[in-house]
Amino acid sequence: MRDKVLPFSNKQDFCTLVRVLFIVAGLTGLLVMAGCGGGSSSAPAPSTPGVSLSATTLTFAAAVGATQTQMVTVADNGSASDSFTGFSFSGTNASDFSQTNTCGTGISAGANCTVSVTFTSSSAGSGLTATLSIADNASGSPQTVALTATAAAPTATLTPTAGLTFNSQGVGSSSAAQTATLTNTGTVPVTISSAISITGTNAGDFSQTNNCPASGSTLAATTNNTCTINVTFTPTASGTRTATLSVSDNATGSPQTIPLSGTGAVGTVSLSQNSLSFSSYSVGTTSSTMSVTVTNSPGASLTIASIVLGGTNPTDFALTTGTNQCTYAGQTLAAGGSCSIYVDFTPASVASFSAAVTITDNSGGVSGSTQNISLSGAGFNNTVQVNVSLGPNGNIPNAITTTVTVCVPGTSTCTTIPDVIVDTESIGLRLLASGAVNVTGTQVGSLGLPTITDSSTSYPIYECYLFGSLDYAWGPLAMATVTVGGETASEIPGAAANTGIPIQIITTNTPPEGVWYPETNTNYEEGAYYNPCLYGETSTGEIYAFDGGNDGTVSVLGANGLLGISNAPQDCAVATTNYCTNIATTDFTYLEYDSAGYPGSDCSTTTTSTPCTFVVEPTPLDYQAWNPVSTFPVDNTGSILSLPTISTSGSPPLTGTLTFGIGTETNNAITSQTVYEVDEYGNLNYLEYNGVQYTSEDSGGAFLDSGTSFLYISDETALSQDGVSVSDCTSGGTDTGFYCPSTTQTLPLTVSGINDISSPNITLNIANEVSLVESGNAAFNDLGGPSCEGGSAAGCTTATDFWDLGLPFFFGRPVYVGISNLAGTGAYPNGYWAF
Amino acid sequence: MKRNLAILFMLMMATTPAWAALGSNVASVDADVQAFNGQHTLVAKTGFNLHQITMQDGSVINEYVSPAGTVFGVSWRGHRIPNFHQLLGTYLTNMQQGQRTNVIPRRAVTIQGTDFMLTSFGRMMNYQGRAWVPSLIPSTLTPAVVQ
Repeated sequence: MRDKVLPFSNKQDFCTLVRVLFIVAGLTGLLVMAGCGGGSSSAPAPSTPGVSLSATTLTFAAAVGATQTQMVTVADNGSASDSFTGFSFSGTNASDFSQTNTCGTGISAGANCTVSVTFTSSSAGSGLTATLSIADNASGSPQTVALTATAAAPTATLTPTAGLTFNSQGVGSSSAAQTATLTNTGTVPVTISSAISITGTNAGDFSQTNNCPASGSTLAATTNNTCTINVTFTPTASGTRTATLSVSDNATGSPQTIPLSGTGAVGTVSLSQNSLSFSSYSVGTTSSTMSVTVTNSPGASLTIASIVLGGTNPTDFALTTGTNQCTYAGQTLAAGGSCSIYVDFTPASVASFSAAVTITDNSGGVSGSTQNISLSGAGFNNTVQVNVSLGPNGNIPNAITTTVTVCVPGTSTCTTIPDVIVDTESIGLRLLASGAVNVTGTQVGSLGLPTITDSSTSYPIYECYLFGSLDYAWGPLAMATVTVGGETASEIPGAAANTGIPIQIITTNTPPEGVWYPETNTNYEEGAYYNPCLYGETSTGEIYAFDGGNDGTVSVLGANGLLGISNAPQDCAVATTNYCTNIATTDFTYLEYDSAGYPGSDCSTTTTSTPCTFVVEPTPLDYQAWNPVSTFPVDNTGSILSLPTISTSGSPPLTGTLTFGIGTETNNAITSQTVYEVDEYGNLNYLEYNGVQYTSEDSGGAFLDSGTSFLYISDETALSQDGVSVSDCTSGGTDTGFYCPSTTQTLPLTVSGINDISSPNITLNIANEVSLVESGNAAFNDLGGPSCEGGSAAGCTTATDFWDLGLPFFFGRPVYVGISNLAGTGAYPNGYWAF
Repeated sequence: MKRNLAILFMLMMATTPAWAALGSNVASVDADVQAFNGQHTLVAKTGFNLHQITMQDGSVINEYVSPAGTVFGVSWRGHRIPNFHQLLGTYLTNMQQGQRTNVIPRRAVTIQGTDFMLTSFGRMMNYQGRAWVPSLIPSTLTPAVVQ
C-alpha cells in the first residue's frame, strides 16, 4: 500500500514502544521518546514486515490560527524490517495538517518511530477531517490515521464574576486570601498572553499568587481547565479600596477581569481624659498615681510609636507603672484594645507646674499622629520643723521652738529669728526687740519695721500683753512680712498687698506711766496715773500695785519670742466679738500714747518716772496682733503640731513638724481625729476625770497648751487620791510644784467639745519629775504638776483647778488647732482642737 | 486735745476714788458694780453672801461677803483682767509686797502677801483668779469658798 510515498529524510530503526503525545501548540520542541532511535536490532531479518500504529484516530482542537501537534508511534511488529515510502494526508481538510517524523526510510524489525501530526486551522470550523497515510512495505499498507479537528475561538472566564470583596482590613495588615478561578470554558486551549496582573486605582493594596500557566502557556480545555488565583488585600490607606484582577490571554474578550474591593480600616485612639489635674502636693513628695486609658477603635490595630513626657515642667512628672500599662517605648494595640498611662507628680518647689504626655501613633491611619494629655499640679510647702529641747537657756524641759523670718514689708530687709516658742495658747507673733540669742542677722528692734499708728488719732499703738502669771510682754505693734517654714504672711486679709501683718515687738523697757482718760470707761479713774502693765497706783500715784515682770529678755522668756497660733485670728477676739472695741469694758491691752505735750519724753521708752498720756481707743482687728497662720494665703485654717512618740523615760532633743492649714492640702486633712470645738474662753467643753467634769463655768477649764512644759492637773482629784502630792519632790528648789510619784501614775480621762462630742478614753502618765529631769533628757511625755498647789488649805478646789494639758500631751498625738472664723461662718465659730 | 481734757479732768476730780471692795464693807460692792458697769446678783450661800457682778462682755466678778458684812474674798473670770486697783482696794499694797510662788510660766501665779492671797491664771480671752484676806474669812469657812 503505497498510495503516497514521501521521501524519507533519514532512516532509523523502529522502536517497539508506541506513544501518543499531545503537544500543545506553541511548543517548539518535539519530544522523542527515550529508547527510540537507539540501537539497531540484532534480530535476524524477518521474512515478513508488520506495522502497527499507536493510534488510528486523532482528534484535534485548537484555536483558529493556533497549532496542535499530536504524535503517532509507528512500530514494526513483524519479523522483518520495514521500509517507508511516504507519509501523506488526504481528505477534505488535508491542507490543515502537516507532519514530521523520525521514521526515515525504514525501521528494523521490532523498532519504532514517531510521526508528529500538526493541526493548523486558518478558520473556525468543526468536523474537519483528513487522513494520514503511511505507505510502506508492510502488509495492509498504507496504514492510516483518521484525523478529525475542531478549530474554535478560545473562551475563558474569570470567576466570581462579581469580583472579590474583602471585609474591613486594618491599614498595613493583610487579609486572608480569597480565590478567583480562571476557567477555560471553550473547546480549545487558552493561551495566557501575559502575567496575571492587578490594575486600577488601588492596585498596590492587592496582591496575588496563582497556579495558572505562565505567560505563553496554555490552559487546556475540558480537562484541567481551571487554575486559581489567590488574592490578598493589604490596604495602605483607610476607606474603600478598589482594583481589578486581570488575565490577558487569547480568549474572547481578553483580558478577563473581575473587580477587587475592600475597606481599609485604621485604629483611632480615644483617651479616657485629655488632662490630668493633680492637686497640690508638698514639695518633694510624690502624688497618688493618676492614669489615662488609651483605647483603640475596633477594626484595626494601632501602632504606638512612643509615649513621652514633654511640655514646660516634664521633670516634675513621671510616667510610672501600673496594671495593663502601655509600653511607653511603643507597642501595637490590637483593634478594640486598651492600655493605660500612669503618671506621678512630684513638685520640686512651691509653684504651679504643667507638662504633657505625648502619644505618637498612627491613629486615623496617619503615621506620626500625636495625642496630648495635659498635666498640671502645684507644689506647696506648708510645714516647718519644730524643735523640742531645753531651750536657749538650757533649763526648760519640753521647750518647743521654731524659726521665724520677719521682713520690712515689701522689701528684702529681713532677719531670721530662731528659738521662738510655738504656743497653742496665745495668738500673735511677738519677738524680742533686742538680745535675742542665736541670731546671726539684725535684731528685730533694729530692723526698721514700721510701727502701727492709729489712723484716727495718729498715735502709735502699743500692747501690754499680760499673761495669766501677771508678767507681760510690752512693746509697739509693727507691720512685718512673716515667713514660717514654707509659708509667708504678706498682708492681712483684705489689706493692700505686701503691707505686712501686725506683730508685737517686745521691749525690755518698763512701760511708761500714763494719765488715763478714757471718757466712757468707768473701770478706771479718769485723770489718774496708771501703768498699763503694772496695774494701778498707790494713793500717792508712785507705787504700782504689782510688777509681775517684763518678759522682754531671753533669760525671762526663755526664748526669742512667741509664735501664738491658737484658735482665733486676732488676740483680742473670739468668734464674732472683738473684745478690744468697747472702751467701756476694755483694759490696757491696746493703748495709744500721745507724747506730744511732754517735751523730751518718748513714751515708748520712758521710764515710770516720766509720765506720758495714753489713751485707749477702740482697737480694730487690723491693729491687733494677728495669728500669722490666719494670714497665710491658703493654709490659713489652722495648724497641726506633730511630735513623735517618745519613751516614758524621756528623749534627747527631738524634732517635729508644724503643718499649716487644715483641710487645705493633701497633707493636712482631718482623718481619724475627732473635732472638739472650744468654748468662748478657748477651753474644752469639759475634761472629765474621776467623775468630775471640769468646765469653764465650774472650774478653771481645760485646754491644750504646747507652750507649757508640764501637765498641770487638778490636785484635788488627780494624784492626791493615790497619796501622791507635790511634797514627794524635793522640798524647795526648782522641783517644787511638780509631782514625783515613786511609780508612774496614770490619769484616765475623757474630754468633750461644745459640739457635744466626747473623746474616747485618754490616758496620761505622770512620772517622777526629779528622776526625769536629772536624766539629762529634754523631751518628756509624763511631767506633771498641780494647777493649784497646796490643797484645800490653799483654797484649791475642783471649782478653781484647771487642766493645762501641756506639751506632754502632744507627743505621739498630732493636735489640730482650728482657727475660728471671725465672720461667724463655718462649723466651729470658736475654733476647735482635733486629735 | 484729749491730753488737755485729761489734765482738766485730773484737776477737777475729787482725789478720793470710790475704791472697792476687798476688805471693805458690803456697801463697797455697789461701787464696784458701778465701776465695772455690771449687773448685780446676790446669792445667799451657807455662811456668806455671794455678790456677782456680770460685766457687759460676760466677764464675771464675784465678791464674798461675810455675815459681818465684810468682803473677805473676790474672784474673777473673763476675757480681760479686771482693774485690780478697783477690785482690791487697799490690799493693792499687800499684793505689791507679796511673793510670787507656784509660777507656771506665762500661765499662772500665786501671790502670797501679808494677810493676802491671790491666784491668777489664764491667757488672753480667758483670765481667772481670786484673792482673799485670810483674817477676814469667817471661822466656819475656808478659802476654798472663794471660787
